[in-house]
Amino acid sequence: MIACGGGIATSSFAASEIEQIAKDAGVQVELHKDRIVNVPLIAHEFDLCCVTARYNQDVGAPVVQVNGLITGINEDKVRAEIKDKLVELANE
Amino acid sequence: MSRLYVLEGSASTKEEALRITADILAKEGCVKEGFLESCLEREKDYPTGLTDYCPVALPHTSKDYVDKEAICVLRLKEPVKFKSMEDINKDIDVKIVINMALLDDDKHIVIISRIIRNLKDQHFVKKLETLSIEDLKDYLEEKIFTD
Repeated sequence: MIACGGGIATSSFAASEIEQIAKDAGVQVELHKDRIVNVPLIAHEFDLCCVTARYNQDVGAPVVQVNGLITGINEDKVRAEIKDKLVELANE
Repeated sequence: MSRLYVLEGSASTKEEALRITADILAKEGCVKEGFLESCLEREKDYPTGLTDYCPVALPHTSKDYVDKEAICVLRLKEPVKFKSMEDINKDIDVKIVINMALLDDDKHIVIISRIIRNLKDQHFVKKLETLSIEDLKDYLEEKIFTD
């Protein structure tokens, strides 16, 4: 499961990209899209929390910053990190 | 069918730039009262400036303020400062404001994806900055709205 913070357009985009990454990696995911303000409140209910802004708080779930999917900066690294985390979680 | 408005203008702040785009969207009956204020408010918490390499901002707000899906692209004569999406403490010089009045349907994600994917292409960004407004409208119709 993934919680995406940020809000409307960018998190919708990030969610669709993450869905594709998961599909390519053969991992089944259930996506939940939410606002970043809700991350500290509900992140602990999820296996992985993807955020589209800088985020350093401990929220009770591993956090991946995925803004690279939008800006293109370090995009390959971000994609690899998401994939590795998803595969790791799937094998738990 | 999404609508596309493309124009050139001058602004000295992001608030002014957003007002220009919101006024067009309101005049064309695409957005409800409060759209501009809501975009501005959202920009404070979730800024939409992209990067130093891509002088673009993607302001938007909730579908509650939207009647008809539309995109308004404003090219500024001089850049204005938006905060960075990545780091709220960082300023980004923005020359192109792409105000997205979006409804939360399946189509909107297609439009957003096309915009974001194209913005990663420096060639596309260059076109945004250099094409005449008329040509830019045709170019964006083709790149963003053509299946």
